[in-house]
Amino acid sequence: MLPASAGPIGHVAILHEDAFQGEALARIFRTAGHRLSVIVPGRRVVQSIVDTAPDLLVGSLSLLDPPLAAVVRGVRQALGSDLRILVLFSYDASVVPAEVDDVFRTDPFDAAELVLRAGRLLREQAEHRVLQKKTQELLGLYKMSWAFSLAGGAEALYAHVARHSAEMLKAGRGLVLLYDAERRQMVGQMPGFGLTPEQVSRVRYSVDGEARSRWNFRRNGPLLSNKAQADTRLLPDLVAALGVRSLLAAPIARGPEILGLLAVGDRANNAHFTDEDLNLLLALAGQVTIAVENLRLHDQIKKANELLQEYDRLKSEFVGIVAHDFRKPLMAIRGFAELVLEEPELPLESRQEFMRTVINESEHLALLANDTLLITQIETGQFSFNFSEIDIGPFILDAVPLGLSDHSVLMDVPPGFPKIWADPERLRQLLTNLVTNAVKYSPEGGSIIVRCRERGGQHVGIEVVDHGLGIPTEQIGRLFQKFARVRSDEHMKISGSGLGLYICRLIVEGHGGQIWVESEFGRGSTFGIVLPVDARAAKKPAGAEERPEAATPEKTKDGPAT
Amino acid sequence: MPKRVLVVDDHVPTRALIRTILEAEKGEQFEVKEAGSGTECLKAADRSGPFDLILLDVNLPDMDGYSVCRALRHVDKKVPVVFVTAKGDLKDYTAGREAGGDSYLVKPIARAALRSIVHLFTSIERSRATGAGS
Repeated sequence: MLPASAGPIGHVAILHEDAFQGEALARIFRTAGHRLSVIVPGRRVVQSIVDTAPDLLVGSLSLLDPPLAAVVRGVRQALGSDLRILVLFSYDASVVPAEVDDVFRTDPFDAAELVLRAGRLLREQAEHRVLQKKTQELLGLYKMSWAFSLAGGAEALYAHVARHSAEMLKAGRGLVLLYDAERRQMVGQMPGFGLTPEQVSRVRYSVDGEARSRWNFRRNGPLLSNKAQADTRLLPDLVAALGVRSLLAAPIARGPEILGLLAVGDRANNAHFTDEDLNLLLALAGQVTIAVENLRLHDQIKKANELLQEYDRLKSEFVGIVAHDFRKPLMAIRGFAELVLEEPELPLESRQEFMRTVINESEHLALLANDTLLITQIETGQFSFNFSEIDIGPFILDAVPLGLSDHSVLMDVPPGFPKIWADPERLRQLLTNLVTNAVKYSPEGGSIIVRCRERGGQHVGIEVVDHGLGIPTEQIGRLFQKFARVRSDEHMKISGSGLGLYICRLIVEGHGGQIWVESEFGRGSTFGIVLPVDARAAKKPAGAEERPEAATPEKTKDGPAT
Repeated sequence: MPKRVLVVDDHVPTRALIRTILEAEKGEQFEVKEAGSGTECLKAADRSGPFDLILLDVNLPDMDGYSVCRALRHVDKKVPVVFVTAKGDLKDYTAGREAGGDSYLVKPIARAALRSIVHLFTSIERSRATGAGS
């Protein structure tokens, strides 16, 4: 009775000069459960062993043609240290070549001991192989993360990840997919590995619809499919686009948020993917997450930097224009002051008129300085609105400047108009600006109406209607931009900095509201604002879902320029 | 004969100031016309000309002063044009020169500077006119 193998089963090659003894040895190992190959000695013995690719070579030291030492050297050169070599000798082990792993004395012959020794070699080998595989994987992960830091841009990253993942998993294809949150789609990223650009461009599927009933990266986690074509869990379109027989996919996830998918397909030699492969792919996907995140942050910083440069340019431009606007009133102030000083014989009325101009222009300068400061503060985020609850009906009645001229100002505020949260000082400035504009640009006089209406439960609308000069249609769009002034002969007779409406827009947007205008040239204008009832909640301008504009009358109007 | 000066500026107090300064001159009489835009300036040069001097702002509501200056040269080739502007960059100055301006003043201008430049250019014009006549 021969003993069964104590270690793992392996592929054993027997090399013996005596065919009969070789067959006897083979029988022993075969009985122990191993796969067996018997090598016929001769000139091509090394090549035969290499072709057989055994786990363990059992050779006889008494082999002379060619000598065993030469065979061992040749085999080691070709197959490396992974192959285990056990040498049998009968009485003298001193001539055994150094490259062998173990020797075994055949005199006296103990079959059980031989099988045990072979088993030990195979077990060592299996352990060594596992260790080596782990080392390879770690090395791969290390190489991958190292390459990320060197990668230039998105394309280089996706190419590297796709190729490297496929190579590590001995797969024919590799691809990074990223989730497009806006379109709710998974999108294959160019370039893939082993995939044509056309194939990659077809990898694009919605996570809604059919994907909900199929394997879905949002719910089902990693995927292992060795018969992709027939796998009903998968979207047929996706499998068709990739053209794969087998598929392995792992989520690229940051915490609970899925950023995308790392997929490899078609194991080499039609082999199957295993759970161990999936574990490795998951580890790779973890690395890819970091790289994808880095890339996203890098892009963000780049964009932020570009934005900063643009802000800087705008700021310089702003300073330039403001400096220009300060010089105009200064010229008048200086000139008239000089005249009064240098001309002692000026009549009193002229003197008074000149000094009035000096005062007016000084006031204009002061306003310009205030406006400029406010704009700069709001634009750079240094300004914080002080919201408090305002009983808006009485507030508007109080805030609208009356008696500016002989224009009649009609207040249309329904009783019980709601309270809102707003910055009282800025709201007052806003209303003053709008009403002052209405008066200024109605040189012929006429009525000005301030109309307040509730807009649903969440917003209030305030409109300032005049019957003045109006605005040419083509100039309406840029009206809420910095330094925008209506260019017409009539308008240019009226002085203005071009900052008032821009400030109105900043104030309204700071309240999460919207400002709009409708106008007919020569007939008058209506400036309207829509404010949320509670501005504290709305930090940004109203989003697309709750556009208060929808509640305003259906006429041509222009929202704030963006 | 009074010297005829056209003041082009969209800022009303500035126009009033220049008019007052010139009309207060003792040794010389000035007849001041005003224009608030480029179009008004060209119209005035065409219909109320010729002028002895044009004081031209750059930042006008309808067109920039450089274009106005170039257009002016089609109407009146030799009238001296002095830019009076709040734009003080070297590139603005160069643009004024290239547009055919004769001088360039940056606001705010002292009364003395304005007076001397107006006298300078109106007297050059007189000598030019005299030269042409003899």
